[in-house]
Amino acid sequence: MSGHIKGEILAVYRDLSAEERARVDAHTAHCPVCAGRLARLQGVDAQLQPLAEMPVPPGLLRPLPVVMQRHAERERPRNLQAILPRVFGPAAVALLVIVGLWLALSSGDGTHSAATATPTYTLTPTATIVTQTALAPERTGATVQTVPVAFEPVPEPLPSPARKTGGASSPALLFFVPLEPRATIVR
Amino acid sequence: MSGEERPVDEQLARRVAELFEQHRSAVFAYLARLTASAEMAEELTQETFLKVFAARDRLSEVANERAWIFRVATNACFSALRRRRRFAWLPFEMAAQSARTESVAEQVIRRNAVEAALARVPTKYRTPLLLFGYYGFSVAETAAILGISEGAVRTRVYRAKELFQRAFEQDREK
Repeated sequence: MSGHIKGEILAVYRDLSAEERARVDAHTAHCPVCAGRLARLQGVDAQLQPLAEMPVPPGLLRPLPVVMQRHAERERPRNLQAILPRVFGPAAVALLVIVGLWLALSSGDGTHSAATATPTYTLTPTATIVTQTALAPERTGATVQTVPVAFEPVPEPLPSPARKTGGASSPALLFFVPLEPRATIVR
Repeated sequence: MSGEERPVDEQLARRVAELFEQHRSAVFAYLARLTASAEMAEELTQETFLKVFAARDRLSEVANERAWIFRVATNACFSALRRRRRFAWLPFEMAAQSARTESVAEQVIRRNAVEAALARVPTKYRTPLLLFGYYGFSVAETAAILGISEGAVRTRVYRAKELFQRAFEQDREK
C-alpha cells in the first residue's frame, strides 16, 4: 500500500471488516505516521468511556405509565405555549410593521413633495446691517450702511405631527428665520 | 380490540415499559449531551418513549430495539433543536432561557474536562461520535439512526475525533 491510510478508515478501526483491519495492521507496522494517527484516534474512544454518569431526573425514575400520564397532563396547557409563538410571533411582527407604516404615513403632511423638501432661496432687495461700531456712530464716525444681502438658503422645516394644514410652508415664514448676515461693511 | 389482541397488546406495552427501564438513563444522558439542557433532555426522553409506545406494534419487526430507540430519540432531538433555533429570538423565549438555573447534569457537563471538550464539538459531529465512540453502535447502526450513509458516518466520526482532540488539548493548556 503506497501513501497513507485515510483518516476516515482509521477513525472507525474497531468496526472494520477483518480484511480491512489486516490491511491497516500491515501498513501501520512500518508506517509510524499512520500508527501514530491510529493511536490518537483510538485514544478518543478510550477518553469517552469514563464519561461522567449523568444523574437521571426524578421525573424519569417513575414507571412508564406514570411518566406518560404526567406528560399528557402537562402537554395540554403547554400546547398553547408552543402554539403562541408560532401564531402570535409572526402576527406580532406583522402588526408592528403595519403600525410603523401607519405612523410614518400619517405623521406630517402627506402632500409634501420632493420639490418642497429642497431648500428654497429668497432674496430681499435690502437689509439693514448694524455693526457694533455703527451703534455708536458719534464715536467712530461710522455710518449705518444699507446693503443688499442675499439670505442663506433656508431649508424647509421638518414637518411636525401636529400640522394639519396642507401645502408647503408659507414663503413669508422664511423671512422670520433668524440669520447671520454674511458680510458687514463699515465705512 | 378483540379478546385475542388484548394480551398481545399488553405484552407489547409491558415490553415498552421494560425498554424504558433499561434505556432511559442512556437516552437521557445522550439527549443531555446533544441539547446541553437537562430540562429539554427530560422532555425529549419522555417524548421518545411515548413514540415508542405509540409504535409498539412494530416492535416485532425491529431487529435492534436499542438502535431503534436511539433513532426515535435523535429525530425528536433534532426537531426540538430546529424549533428552538426558529423561536430563540422571541422575547419570552429568551427570558425563559435566561431564567433557568443550571441543573446537576449541566454542572457535570461544565466541570468534567472530557464533557466540556465534547460539548464544544458541533452537534453534527458530536452525534455520530457519541453513537459510535461512546454508545458502541456500529457504523451501519449509526448510519441507520442518523439516516445518512456509512461513508458519511466515517467522515463525521473522523472529523469529530479531530475536533474533540483539539478542544481537549486547548482546554488543558488553559
